[in-house]
Amino acid sequence: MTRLDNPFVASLNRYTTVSPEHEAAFDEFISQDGPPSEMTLRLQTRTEQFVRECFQRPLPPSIIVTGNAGDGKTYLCRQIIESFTGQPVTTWSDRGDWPIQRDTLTLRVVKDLSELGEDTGAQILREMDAERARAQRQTIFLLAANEGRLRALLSREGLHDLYTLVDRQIRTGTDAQNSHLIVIDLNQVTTSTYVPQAVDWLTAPVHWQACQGCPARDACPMRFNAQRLANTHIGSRLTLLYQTLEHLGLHITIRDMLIHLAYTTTGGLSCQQVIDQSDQLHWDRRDLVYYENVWGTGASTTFRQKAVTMSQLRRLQVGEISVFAVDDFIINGSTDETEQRLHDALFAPALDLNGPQFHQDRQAYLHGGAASPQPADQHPLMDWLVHCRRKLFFEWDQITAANHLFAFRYLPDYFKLLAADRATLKQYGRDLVLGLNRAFSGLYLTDREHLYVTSQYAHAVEQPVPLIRLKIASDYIELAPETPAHTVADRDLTRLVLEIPPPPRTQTEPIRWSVDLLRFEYLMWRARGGMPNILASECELAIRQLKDDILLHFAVQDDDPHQITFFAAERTRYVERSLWVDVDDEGTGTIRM
Amino acid sequence: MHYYGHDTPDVDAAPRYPLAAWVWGHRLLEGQHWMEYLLEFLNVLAGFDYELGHGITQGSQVPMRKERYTRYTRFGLRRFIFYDEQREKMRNDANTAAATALHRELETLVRVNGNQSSLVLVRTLLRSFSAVAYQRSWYAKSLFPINHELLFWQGDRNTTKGYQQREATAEPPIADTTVTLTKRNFYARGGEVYYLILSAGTEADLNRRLSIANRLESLLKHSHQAIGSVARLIDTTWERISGNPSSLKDHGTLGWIPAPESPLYVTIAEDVAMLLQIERDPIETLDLLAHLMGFHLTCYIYHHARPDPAHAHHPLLLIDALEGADGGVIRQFSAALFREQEVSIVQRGQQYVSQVVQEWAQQYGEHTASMVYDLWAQTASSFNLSRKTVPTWVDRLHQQLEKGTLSRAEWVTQFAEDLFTQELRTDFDKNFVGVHRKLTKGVGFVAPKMGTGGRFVLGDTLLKALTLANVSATQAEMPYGAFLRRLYQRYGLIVGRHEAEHAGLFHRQPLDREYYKHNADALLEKMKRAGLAVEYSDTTAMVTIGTR
Repeated sequence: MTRLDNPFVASLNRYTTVSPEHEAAFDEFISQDGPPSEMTLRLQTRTEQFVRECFQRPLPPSIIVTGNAGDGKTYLCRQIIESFTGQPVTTWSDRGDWPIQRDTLTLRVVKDLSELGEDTGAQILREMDAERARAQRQTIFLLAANEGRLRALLSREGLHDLYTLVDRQIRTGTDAQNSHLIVIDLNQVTTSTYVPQAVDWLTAPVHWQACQGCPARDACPMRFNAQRLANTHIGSRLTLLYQTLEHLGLHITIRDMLIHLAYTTTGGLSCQQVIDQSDQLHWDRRDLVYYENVWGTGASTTFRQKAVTMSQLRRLQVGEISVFAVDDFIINGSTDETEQRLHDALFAPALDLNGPQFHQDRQAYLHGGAASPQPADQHPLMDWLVHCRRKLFFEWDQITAANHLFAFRYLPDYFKLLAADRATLKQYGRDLVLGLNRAFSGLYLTDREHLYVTSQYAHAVEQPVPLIRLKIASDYIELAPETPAHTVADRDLTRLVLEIPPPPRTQTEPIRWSVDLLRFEYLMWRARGGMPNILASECELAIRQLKDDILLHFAVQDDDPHQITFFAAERTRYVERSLWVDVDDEGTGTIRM
Repeated sequence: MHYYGHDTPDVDAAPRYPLAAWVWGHRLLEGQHWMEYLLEFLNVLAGFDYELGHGITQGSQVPMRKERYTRYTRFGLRRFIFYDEQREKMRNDANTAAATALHRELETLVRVNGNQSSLVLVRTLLRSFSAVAYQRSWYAKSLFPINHELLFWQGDRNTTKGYQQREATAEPPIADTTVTLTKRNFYARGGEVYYLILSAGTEADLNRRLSIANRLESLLKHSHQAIGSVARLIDTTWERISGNPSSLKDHGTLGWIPAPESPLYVTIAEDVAMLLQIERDPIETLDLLAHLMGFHLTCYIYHHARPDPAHAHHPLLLIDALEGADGGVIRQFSAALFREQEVSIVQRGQQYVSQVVQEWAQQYGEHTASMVYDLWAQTASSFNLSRKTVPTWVDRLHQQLEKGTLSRAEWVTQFAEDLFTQELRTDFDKNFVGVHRKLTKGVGFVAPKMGTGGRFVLGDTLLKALTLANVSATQAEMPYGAFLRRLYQRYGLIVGRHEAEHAGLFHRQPLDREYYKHNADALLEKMKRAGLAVEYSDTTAMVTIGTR
């Protein structure tokens, strides 16, 4: 029997098994032994475009690119060499340092500083430093380096000026106009930007042509996944997951993205495995579909640990919690005709529902009566719920309802705010103030018109009475989305920033506090209640830090020796109270309220 | 052994102290609440007018001016805050009358407004700073000292004959004399020990000594002054109506600590100086200091539990930052190391007993008939044991020596063993061994807070305190790797792979190195969330206390 292996599947799977191979850098992933079709993955990045433009300036600067392993540093160098030499780079072999002559200038491309060895690396940095001092520029560099190595080498060589230049740009952002040296930190890149491109590549029909004539073609979960993922709605849901991680402050490298997307498509299966099992009558393929692969449901623990994206996505616990609107739709469908048609289409017998099995289980549950012996909570349909919730997460066009499947209860609000009008922002701003008031004081305060920065004994054993150290009117506290313009790298991330102005007569800058998804969730939980999110409780320390910051910078160290302001419990709520104290050194005087 | 402090046992003619006091100084008691270490320490410091290095007659190179520290009584203040007619444990007519008189007088000084008497409000406000949760009588409770005026020494019932009778009938001011400040059941000298550690650790750096003391003085005197004024008003009002209670001011003298040259004391003083460097919310600062103190005292206990004081090795304290995310692998190892510390404390006690018994036995040269009883008399006296009856094991050993069934060396060893297990162990376990358990759990250095067992962790507040104590405010950042190395070098804390390797943990427990890497990553993650660290890339993370 002739084997009908799709070579594209084999090449994807080199990265979905736990082998040292899958740790190969992104560049190798797409070049050496790359996919056998003519269509190799070509990611368009803003960084590449920017670097090109820089080198076309009349006076081109040198460029240092830093980032984690897998961020695409080498890939970038390849693109630049190819476009300036017009020759494809077939093999790097030992060409760590690649000089290209352009008119009077030499462009030296160093694809990885760490690969060169300590001495050669140091030599290049010294040359780079010397070049900066030269009146007539002769050589410019494109240098890719791991940041830690770069810092270590620079300080070892005593190249302090260069160190400072690099350090400043990594900290405060790329100085795109610098005419000598530009530092680009690929850690700032939002990989979600590339998800659509990568999905297009993975699902491109040309890669799946080899499947024509395969006997297991219609029973193949991989082909099923590729077809479904090609759907733009499903693709956008996948992108949303990546964006969510970015709003939690995580950076995913391009390599990690590719590992994850490859596994999402193949589930680690090989063509042979599929063909072998495809004629079995009861092949349970539920855990092999893309919306289970995406969290690594069937993956080994070791692989889950290695696949960073997967382990981070698992923490979002999508679909693990019951949401009435979703479960009701799965089990009962809808009374609305259009909705019901949609339900019929979504849950029609298909590979991901084990053919007719879901349909049968559901019918048995709904109409089973005596034929359905188990109590409701042990019914086979219950095993389908998590699976179907996840399916709906990707495939249902009711995005608002589907987004409630995140363990983050306020995630839909959060995404809404990123593009909200001022009135809505104002309203949520007050909720955050209330959340902060409660978090700072540890009490169930009800005032959202002011931000109260309070201070109290943390281990109070009697009724707590928080002292009010500072009071700022909510009217002056701004919650605003911020989208910094990035010309240097793909960073498509809008952040929410809470700006707290200093109290009157305090000469200092306002405090700008970034409200990421975790902090938002935590403060909204404080303000509006609901289930506390385990991840969000981790940001309690960050909120204490904010309190420290406010007290430190808004200079409330000048203690008022005559007034005490605090929250007193009165009947069912806390009320702001003041005492005026007039006592001399002898200990005589009065207290007024 | 060299000691540092007052009335140290090496100068006392016939010193009599429990075993722990000989090895770990005078002294740490299990009954002291973990917060009371801070309260007692601040009372001692304030009692020496906010100067370190006083009250030390032995072991110090620096001359001192004051031998005894003042203990603040503030009976009026605590009576007002804590004496509650309904809830008071030690309620009696004299005290109720005193409290009523004080309230009546204070009512005239407070302008009432609205339906809630502001005097009640003042009381609730001050009461919210009650430091310790236990059910205690009014005179034994303490306040968290957010201002100098809130400091006072823990009191106890005066059980001297005569007082008890007068207690029931007495009018003020006699009511106050029924309370004594000289018993040390809650302020059991743990705070004194810390005062001594900071003094010893700054013998060679008097600038640091000055800066620690000055910062604490300004912290207590310049913050929350209005609350301080309220407290002063209440206390002086009581002094006025009760006669002359300012004469009731009491004094105390310090105990001692061993090994004044110990580098650990310098480390501790450095930590405190650095923690106090930055101005922040005063209440927060004191809370951080309380956590740091508990941690330091634990290090102190471990330090002196080392079998050989000359040996500079660290205790091995593996921190479990993964909280079970690894299936509990690190947690179990950490728990084993925690048990190991407890064992080494007991072994050190045992070893000390054996060492002194050997030394004493040598004095006797050739053995005499009464030698066993002489040795018993000496040990009983040194360890403050009852000498009324001779224990049976002593008689038995005497017989064995007479019969010659044991060699002399065997016999001395046997004597030391029996002495420890039969006479000393009970008190040692009850009053000392548990101290580090109590301290570590109190400050979040060991989890779980309740229940048995334990493993080393770094709780939120402790982690923050340790960071502030190790990263200078002037130096902007410290690489995360260097921070971990520092925690290891200074205290023996192990988080990551390098430290585990250096400490030889790989040989003890063949764990995959990845576990330690994950452990370090987990701690970094926590520090990032807390704003204590910034990660620039997968190879560069910085610990920072720079705000904004």
